Amino acid sequence: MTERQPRRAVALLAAQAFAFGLSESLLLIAANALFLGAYGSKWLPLTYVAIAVFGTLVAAWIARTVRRWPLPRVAIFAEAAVALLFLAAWAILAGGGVWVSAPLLVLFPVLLQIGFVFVGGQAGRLLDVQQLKTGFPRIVSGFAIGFLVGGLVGAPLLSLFGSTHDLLLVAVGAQVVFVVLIGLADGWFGDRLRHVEARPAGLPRPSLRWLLSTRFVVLLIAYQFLSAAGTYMVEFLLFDRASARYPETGDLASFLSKFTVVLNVVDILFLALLAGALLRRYGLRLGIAANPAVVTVLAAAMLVAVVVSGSAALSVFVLVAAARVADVSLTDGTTRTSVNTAFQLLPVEERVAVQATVEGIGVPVAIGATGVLLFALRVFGVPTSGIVGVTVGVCAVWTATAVWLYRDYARALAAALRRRLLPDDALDPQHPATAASLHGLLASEDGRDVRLGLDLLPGMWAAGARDELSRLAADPRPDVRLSALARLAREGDADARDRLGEEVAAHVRDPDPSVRAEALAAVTATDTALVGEVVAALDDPETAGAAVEALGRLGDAVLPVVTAALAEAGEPVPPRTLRLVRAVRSASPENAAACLVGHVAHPDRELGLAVLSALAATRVHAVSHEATLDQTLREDAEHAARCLATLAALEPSPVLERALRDELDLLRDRVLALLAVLHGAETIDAVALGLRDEGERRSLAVEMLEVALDRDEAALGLPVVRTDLPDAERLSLLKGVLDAGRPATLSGLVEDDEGCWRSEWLRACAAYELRTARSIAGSIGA
Amino acid sequence: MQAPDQQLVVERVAVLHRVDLFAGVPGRTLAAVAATAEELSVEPGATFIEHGAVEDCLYVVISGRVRVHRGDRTLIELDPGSAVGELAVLVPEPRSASVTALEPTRLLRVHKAVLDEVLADRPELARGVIRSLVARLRANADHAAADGSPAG
Repeated sequence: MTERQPRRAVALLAAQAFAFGLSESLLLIAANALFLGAYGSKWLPLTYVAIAVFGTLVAAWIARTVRRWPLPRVAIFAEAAVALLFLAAWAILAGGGVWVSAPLLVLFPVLLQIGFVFVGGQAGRLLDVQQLKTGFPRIVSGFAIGFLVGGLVGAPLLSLFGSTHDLLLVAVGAQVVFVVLIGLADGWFGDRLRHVEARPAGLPRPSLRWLLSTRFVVLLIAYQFLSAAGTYMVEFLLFDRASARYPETGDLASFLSKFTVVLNVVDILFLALLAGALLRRYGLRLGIAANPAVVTVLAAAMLVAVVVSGSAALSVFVLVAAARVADVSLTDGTTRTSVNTAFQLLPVEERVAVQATVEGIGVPVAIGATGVLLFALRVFGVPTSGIVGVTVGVCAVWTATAVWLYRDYARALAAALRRRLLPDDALDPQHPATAASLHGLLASEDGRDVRLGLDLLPGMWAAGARDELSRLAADPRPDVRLSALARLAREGDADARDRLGEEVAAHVRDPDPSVRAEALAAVTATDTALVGEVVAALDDPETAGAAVEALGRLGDAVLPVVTAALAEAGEPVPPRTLRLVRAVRSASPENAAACLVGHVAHPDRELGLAVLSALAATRVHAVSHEATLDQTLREDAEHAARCLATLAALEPSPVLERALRDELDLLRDRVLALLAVLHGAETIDAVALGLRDEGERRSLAVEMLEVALDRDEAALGLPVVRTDLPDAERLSLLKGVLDAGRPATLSGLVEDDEGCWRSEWLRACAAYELRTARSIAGSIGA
Repeated sequence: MQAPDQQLVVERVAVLHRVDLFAGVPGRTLAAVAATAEELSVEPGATFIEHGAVEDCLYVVISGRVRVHRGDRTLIELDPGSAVGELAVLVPEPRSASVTALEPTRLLRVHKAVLDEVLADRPELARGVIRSLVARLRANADHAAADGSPAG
């Protein structure tokens, strides 16, 4: 997407939400007035149960259909059907059939959820996680404004039309606009909205049942269920206390009307002014937990007030009203955005189907269950204090679920980032063509082909490849023999293991580099006697890679060589030392730390990077070295600020600019390696890959960092690793937390009196630029 | 680095950075490549790569213009910032074409051993190699399509 497209998408989706909010508002006014006028409130709990049944059926249909049809087509079909339903209901009402107000009342919460599934589903495909956190509150504010406008124009329209059911005609108009706007989104962003069948690399899609049984999705369902239950309990308490406080119908209607205006105005102001900023600053932690936590606190205060002052007390009434306002505002401002953002962790092809199931079924079922619960409480004569107590209990469980969901969000986020597009077992060894190809490779005269065949062979082990391997283990070509013996040894063949040791020792100094490389590839953790030979292979570029891998398998045995090399390392550090440090992969964390931690702050930043990567690979206990790591992060952030400030101040030539950008890339890699020491290489390596991506994966990577890092780490580390941000923004973020960012002059770069640049290359580029500038000045002067 | 050489190295790195093969490699790493590279001046009409010759170096065009050809048939003309003969530093085999200067041309010659050293530590160069090979394949395919023969 271009820079303007997210704004365009947010505007279009907000317009859709406005039309949808207007339609919902008019439906609610008409259905409530007609139903309550005809049947009173005694049948309301029954409508809750009907909502559960009907909502479940509709959501199941949508979840099923979005796996077959493109999202816009499903949305247009469903919302156009709703418009026709409104029209049919209007015709029935005009003919005196007031019974239709009951199904209309049932429709309201169902359509509310479904509409948000469609709007949220489009947002999920058009915006990434970061854009959603800022943009979705604006989209929801479109709904809130539409709902408020519906409430405001309801009364004048009633006077104009003279009959309540005519409001449905205006709702039909709003529905038509909603449908047209979905069609417009399809026209503008069809390439992103329509991909239903497309699966990356032809992988089979995970089943909906499997997705719905994963812990993260189950927690989302539980959260949404409890959220709906809490909301309806609070709403019930509001109506209950309001009807007790205003026994006259006119007074009650007047209060509810004013309260609705206040509720919507507060909601819109919160959405417009606070929600986005809060989510940006505090992330999903606040977004998921704020709503249940605030409602729980208010409900607990309500309980205390009821116990102390009685259920008729003004304080109870005020607290109930406050809880309702807080619940609606936080639901719209933070919960909807956070839940919508959480769905981004699911595979894009499954997102809307799961969302429809979670929101479309979870919420109506919660409404139904709450209706039954309230009905039962009333039947058994439970007083208001008891209902408030149950509400506190529901909200407390909701809060606990929110905390659990947030913790699981971090885990699911890491899993989503690491999700591989390539299958682990892409080759089907049972397929005759595959088996024939492998056989052809293994029978080849060319040793490279045979080694490739052997690489692919383990997948065929069950198909009886042992004979083939045994034959190759006696092959006259040493590289083929080594490769076959290594595979046999890996399968537990003791004889092959003994022979392999002898072959490795015999060929690790073979004149042929490909044989040497194969011997190095066969080195195992027990070949510690070969450390010297393997280290020697580091000096030959043709075997350096295999030697680094081999040393990586030798555990602590490599550490004395590394310690000695580091003790002698000057500036710049020779490539051999860098390779040795990079090879520390399987050493024990304590010994690796003892050998390496002292070199984290080495003047040669390349060596520091290699040290940090090795510390992350060996999973050293980061807490023991917190002070060193914190100091290094701060110094790297300061250096990044220095580079950015110099870039801005000098407006350097391409040569110096490239050198400064290379320095910033080195700092990015160092900070990522440092974060890998603190938070695990698996997660941060996935983040590093995501940050190099341009699409949704980058946004997930940033989100992962925001979730995993503490405030100081995020403040110092994010501007360094986010090379996608404009320089000025990165510098401003760093200046906000550091007393740094003074630009260097060209001569300052060359002289480096304070020793802060420590880069021969930067010095050379600055000197070049200085000389060029003097020469230009000289020629102008002449 | 000695002061007079430093300027030369910086200029050479700037040239190398313009070549796709080296574009992703940090300048501080390329400095070692640039320091060991040889600079040549070639007169118009002089052939500096002979079809069939076995060599293990590539050339980067600093200035001027060169023609890659088989006999009289021109395969491509290259401008400053282009690399020629890069296959030879990956697999030293007989040159697949000749290269002749079309105008006074300055070249930078980089040897296989130096690139092997960089390749061992820098995945960015491997990506550059892949990009360069893909460009070569595309050019061959375009050429074959223009001739009406299938691309090899």
